Amino acid sequence: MNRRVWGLIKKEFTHIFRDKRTLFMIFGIPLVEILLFGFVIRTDISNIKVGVVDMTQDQVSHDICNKLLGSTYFSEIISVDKISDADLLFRENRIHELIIFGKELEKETTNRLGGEISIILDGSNPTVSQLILNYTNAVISDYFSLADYKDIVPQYRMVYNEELNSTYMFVPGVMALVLLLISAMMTAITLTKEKENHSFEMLLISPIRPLEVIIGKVTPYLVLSLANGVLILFLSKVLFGLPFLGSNLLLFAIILLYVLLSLSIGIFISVVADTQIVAMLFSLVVLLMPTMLLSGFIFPIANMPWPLQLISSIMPARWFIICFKGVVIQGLGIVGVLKPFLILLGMTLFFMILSVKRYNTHLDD
Amino acid sequence: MKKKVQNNYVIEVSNLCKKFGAFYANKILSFDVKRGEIFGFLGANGAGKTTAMKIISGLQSPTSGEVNVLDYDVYHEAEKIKKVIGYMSQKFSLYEDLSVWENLRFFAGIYGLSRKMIKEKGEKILHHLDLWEHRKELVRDIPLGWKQKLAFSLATIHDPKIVFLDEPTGGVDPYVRRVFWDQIYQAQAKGITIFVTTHYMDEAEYCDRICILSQGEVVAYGAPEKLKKEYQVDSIDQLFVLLARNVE
Repeated sequence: MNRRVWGLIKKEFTHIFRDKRTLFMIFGIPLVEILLFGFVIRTDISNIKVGVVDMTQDQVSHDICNKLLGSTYFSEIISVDKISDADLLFRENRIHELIIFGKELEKETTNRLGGEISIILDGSNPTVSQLILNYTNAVISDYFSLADYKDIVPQYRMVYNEELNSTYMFVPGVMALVLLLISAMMTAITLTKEKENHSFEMLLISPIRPLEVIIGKVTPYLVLSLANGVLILFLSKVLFGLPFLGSNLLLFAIILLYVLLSLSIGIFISVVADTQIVAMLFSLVVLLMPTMLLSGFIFPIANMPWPLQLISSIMPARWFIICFKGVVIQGLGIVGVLKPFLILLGMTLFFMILSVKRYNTHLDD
Repeated sequence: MKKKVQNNYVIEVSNLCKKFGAFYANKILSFDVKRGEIFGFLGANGAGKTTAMKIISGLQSPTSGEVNVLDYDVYHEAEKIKKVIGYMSQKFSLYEDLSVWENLRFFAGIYGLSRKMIKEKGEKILHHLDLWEHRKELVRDIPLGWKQKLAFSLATIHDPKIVFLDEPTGGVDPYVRRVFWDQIYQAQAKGITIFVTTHYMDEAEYCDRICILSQGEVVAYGAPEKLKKEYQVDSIDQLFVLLARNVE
């Protein structure tokens, strides 16, 4: 490696490791985000307490109760004598759901399911109750599909996610956000900082070439972003059991491409913005906010009005998330994610060419 | 054909013109800088000093006119010019969050000095400046005078032929300015040509020759003593006021 570029890279690392706030930004944020999304903002629920009114006392009801307890979501089964007793239990929050097994279930199930198992849920919290209902239905249908009651098998099945485990579904989104934050925002800030300090002039008057300045300044963020990507993947694997179904090499290529794209956006911002504060606001408002809201990370794209869907399609994070999910969760190969991959590649080239062009004209005024 | 004869002038500017849109930052500038002299470049803010200096140091290209630095042409040989010049500005001197040694290593590095050279030269410079004991301290923690000395030494660490100083003593107290000028003289004694812009008219008196710009044009050019006689004033300060008034 060229000695001048190497000097710049070393200097940039010194800046980063000396400034504790920058260091926190880089390694603290992914950690906090992944733990936050993983443990706090969970979209699924555990420790569900179930009340059971069992009028049959037969094998089927017994098995279903055991199966509920065997899953990770249900923690307690409380036997309830009369349906009317449930009211108090609901009010005191001692149960979240009441399952009623009707008479002669075992005999009935040979014919049909309807009517013999009733589920009562707390309608005051519809979102949570809907989820509990889904879990319960899944467990019950799973039971019937295994048992010998071929006629009444309800078709409940979650594709790619048999365990109903949705915690790791947020990993691609967090990754998209964190990499964008470090690569684009930090790059934009560090480059505008040199501009603000007038040290940029100092560098440009030296024999170092403008392109070398960019490479030297940006390489540390490339390295740190990749390290961060690995950190997030590691945490997702250990804490949330993210399955790595596809090729790891392809996954690496996707992450690298996305990081390069974010870096070129960062360089572009630094050309447009003259001060660090402008660069930061620009990154936050134009990049991070829409990425969070429009990339499909939190809100489903299909439910958006069409103008927002249009904006969503120019969010790099959207295509990154599709690639990531395709490879890691669905186990697709390059052909399966070709379209989003090519879109990311196109965006990268677009921003690289644009920033180099703007950069050169920028130096002349 | 390029003449290989040792040229007595290290900077030759003739009919330099730089336009930004319809605005002329420099209108037909012509002047020369002699080898080994201290050349003062004066002018009010917006007179075109910075633009001319950027052009001469290869940072921007002129709209028209001829500019040669050490026989290199700024249009085509800016990269060669950059290797033989040094630059220091009051706006930026050193990275505050890096230590004395880290700053030294970085600036020596971007001028292409080898690791061994950096070590040898660095030690020599820091001992000479009495900063060796402080090499591990962050630049933000050392006094302004030391920073100034260090910044100048780093601007000349690669033994440039010409060093450009852009208002190097702005915002500095008189004692530090005095010490700084001693350093400039030391560099001159080593054969380095000094091109300095300044706001302080007393500093202009220290220069061998000066050039005063106003609204993108040269209004006075020559040795301070000669100019004072010519315009019948006692100091460059008075001359500057006189010329500035003429413009209005």
